[in-house]
Amino acid sequence: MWRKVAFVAVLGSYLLLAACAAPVPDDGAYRHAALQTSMAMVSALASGQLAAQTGLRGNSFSPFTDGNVTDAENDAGSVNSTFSSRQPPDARSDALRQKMLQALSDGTSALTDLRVAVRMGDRTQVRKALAEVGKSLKTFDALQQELQ
Amino acid sequence: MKAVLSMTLGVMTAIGGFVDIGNLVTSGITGARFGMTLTWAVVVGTLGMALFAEMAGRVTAVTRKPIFHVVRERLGVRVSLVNAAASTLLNLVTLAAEIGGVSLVLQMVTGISYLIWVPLAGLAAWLVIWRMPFQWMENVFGLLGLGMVVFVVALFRLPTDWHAMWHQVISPAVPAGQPAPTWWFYAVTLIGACIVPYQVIFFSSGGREEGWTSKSITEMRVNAFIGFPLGGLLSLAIMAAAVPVLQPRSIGVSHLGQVALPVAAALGKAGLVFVFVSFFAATFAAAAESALSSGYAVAQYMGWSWGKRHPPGAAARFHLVCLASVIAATAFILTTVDPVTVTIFAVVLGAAAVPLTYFPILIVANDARLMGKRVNRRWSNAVGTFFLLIMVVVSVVSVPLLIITKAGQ
Repeated sequence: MWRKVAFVAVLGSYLLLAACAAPVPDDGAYRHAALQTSMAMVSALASGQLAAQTGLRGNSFSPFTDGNVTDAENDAGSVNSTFSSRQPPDARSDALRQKMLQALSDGTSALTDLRVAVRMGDRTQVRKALAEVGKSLKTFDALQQELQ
Repeated sequence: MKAVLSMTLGVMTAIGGFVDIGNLVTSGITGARFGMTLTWAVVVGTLGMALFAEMAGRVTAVTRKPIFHVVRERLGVRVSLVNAAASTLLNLVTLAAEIGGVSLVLQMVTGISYLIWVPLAGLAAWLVIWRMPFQWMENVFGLLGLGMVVFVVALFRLPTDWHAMWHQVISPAVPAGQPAPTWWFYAVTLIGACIVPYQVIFFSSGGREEGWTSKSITEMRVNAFIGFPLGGLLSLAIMAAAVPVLQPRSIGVSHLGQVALPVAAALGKAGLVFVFVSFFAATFAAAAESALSSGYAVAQYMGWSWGKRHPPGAAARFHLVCLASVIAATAFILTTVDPVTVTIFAVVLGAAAVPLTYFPILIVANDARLMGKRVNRRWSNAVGTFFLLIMVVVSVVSVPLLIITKAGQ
């Protein structure tokens, strides 16, 4: 009796552990993750851009602009680190990874520059950082087209 | 004239008081992501809320007892324990979300981290519960919440495509490129945000605080059937303002500040001032109301003396439960859990548990011995049962959708 119970318990635990193990990602899954990452990055970049543009026009208060740009920067950083830690399944995916990492790094840096400029109240630097954010947005738009 | 003024004030308070952090977050997210395709969910949630609030208010006005008290008397201690426990737990999660919301609004205004504001928001909520007269609390914050009308004004200043929006309202469908489970998940959150259980508890207990009798039924009905739906319109205005500004830029809302961006873009600093004041009033009032509702639910179930009409010493255990709720909710938000995520979970869990609160109301409002000639009519039973069935479906699907969509991702 107890042997049967032990056998069922061991088998059950094995199946549970097997179910918990992460599936091996294939190229399709990796590309899908890259697409989702691009979309999240576009959201962060566009949010920071809109907040900074509104502030630049004098349509918002400094803490409000700063808060929105900082949130956008944090979101971008989180998106960046999540994708960076993802294991590419093959050489083709690794090429995509390199491309994505460069774009993610550029986007995050652009938002950091924007946050620094907004906090300093330097309108020239804000415009310059906004141009970088715009460039980064175009890169992600192109990446999305490629991945869809 | 005095009666008309009182009724107008009641309606305005109900409009301003309807929206809380749940509505702010879910309306912003859905407008930016799905346009106006989920308008129907706000309509269903608001009508359900108005219908059951009216029933609860009518029971309170006729029996001169709050709904929890009547439910316990009518359905017994064991059945109503499930109701009381579920409501108290939900009130706590909602209270945490509201305190987080107040703190986020203060962060938007000052730039100082919301975590610094959390204990102060909790303390202020407690002071208002302790010191401020009930009617003052309801009217002041309700009227300040009306400032959200600024979203309606913003819509007229933005490049709003009214035709496209109307098309989305009348022929709702999952937008291209969006996963259907996520669309349904947010439909559930919108319904959950409108029918939060604490609002019914507060509405009926507030009726006792204000001394409602059978003569107050007309005023109560006007509040429920006009005030709440107009409050629902404010939710839709927040959703609509996101459509021309956030959706074309593919901005997904994950912070409260993003919900206010359309108003800043349309109306500048003046508009933002209205947003700050009304967001603060809405979340702060909801924090006080959900803390009070915890006290109401527990005290009415236990048969203790309760209410703000009594000095704290005369309803000590009621006030103690309110204080304990505020402390627990404040401590929970201080763990640095994201208040927006807490809000999403609060509305989903609220949606899951709503039949537990609303089914007993339907039973009690149908009791002819208790209600006399004010018992539910056939039409209100038919409509009430229809909405209850919707709520049961919402309740069943809410948690699976939460898991499948990873909380709406």
